[in-house]
Amino acid sequence: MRISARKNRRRNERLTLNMASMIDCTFLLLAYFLLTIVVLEPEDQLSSNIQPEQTTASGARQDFQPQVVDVELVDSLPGYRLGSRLFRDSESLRAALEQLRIDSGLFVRVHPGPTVGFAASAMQAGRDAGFTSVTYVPEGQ
Amino acid sequence: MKFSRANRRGIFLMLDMTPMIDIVFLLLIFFLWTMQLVQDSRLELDLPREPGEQAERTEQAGLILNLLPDGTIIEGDEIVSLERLEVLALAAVDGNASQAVSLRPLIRADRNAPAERLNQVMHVLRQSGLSGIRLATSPGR
Repeated sequence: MRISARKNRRRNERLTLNMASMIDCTFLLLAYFLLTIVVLEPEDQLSSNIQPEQTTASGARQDFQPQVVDVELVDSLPGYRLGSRLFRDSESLRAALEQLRIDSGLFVRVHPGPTVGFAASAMQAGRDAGFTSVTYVPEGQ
Repeated sequence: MKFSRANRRGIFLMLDMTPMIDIVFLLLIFFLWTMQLVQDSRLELDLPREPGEQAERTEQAGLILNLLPDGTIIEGDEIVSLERLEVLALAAVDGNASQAVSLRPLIRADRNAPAERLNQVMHVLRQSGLSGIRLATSPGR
């Protein structure tokens, strides 16, 4: 195939690319993405162990007993019990947990009555206080 | 308002489209880049408003459970009973036999769901041989 270069050169024509269709497509794609975008809220997570089934075969006791936080209803209101102390909010629970030994781990014993939010708050307080091992103990089974 | 003579003389006013097209292309690239195809199926729940562990996690959950405020358990698109949950948990353990110890199902529980129901779920997971869970939280609120 012979391309007539002379002809093109002689006439000094300018080759133009029509951008209109490409811009149309781009606008359509943009509109599509703007309409179909779903904004997802970021999620994080709290890891915890599940306390294994109690066995009576072993009578051995651990040297260090874990700290235990009970999440329960007290006078019809949810609260956190640490030993004999009762806390109504997770901030004061965290402050109390920070005073304790953290190497033996934390047991969060959740009783029937409160909601999941309170159980999660207790677990979070344990994490924030520095406990690397938090164990969920489901009560009432 | 008095117009200048220059307009009367027929000066051609040109609108420069280049910056607008640049911005449109940049937006398009942004949406293409940040588009998520899979995460759409996440159930909308009011998760516990806790910051979580704020650590990057790459391991597979094996099982993702949603717990609604009324205590309904949903896995995928299916409402599951505790008996069915046990079957699913056993299947997850069998399917990941090599890493059953580190397998931690993700529980997306609404903060207003009864903790008693979460306890039942924990009990079933424990009976299936799982030793830990992850509780989803919403740090963004």
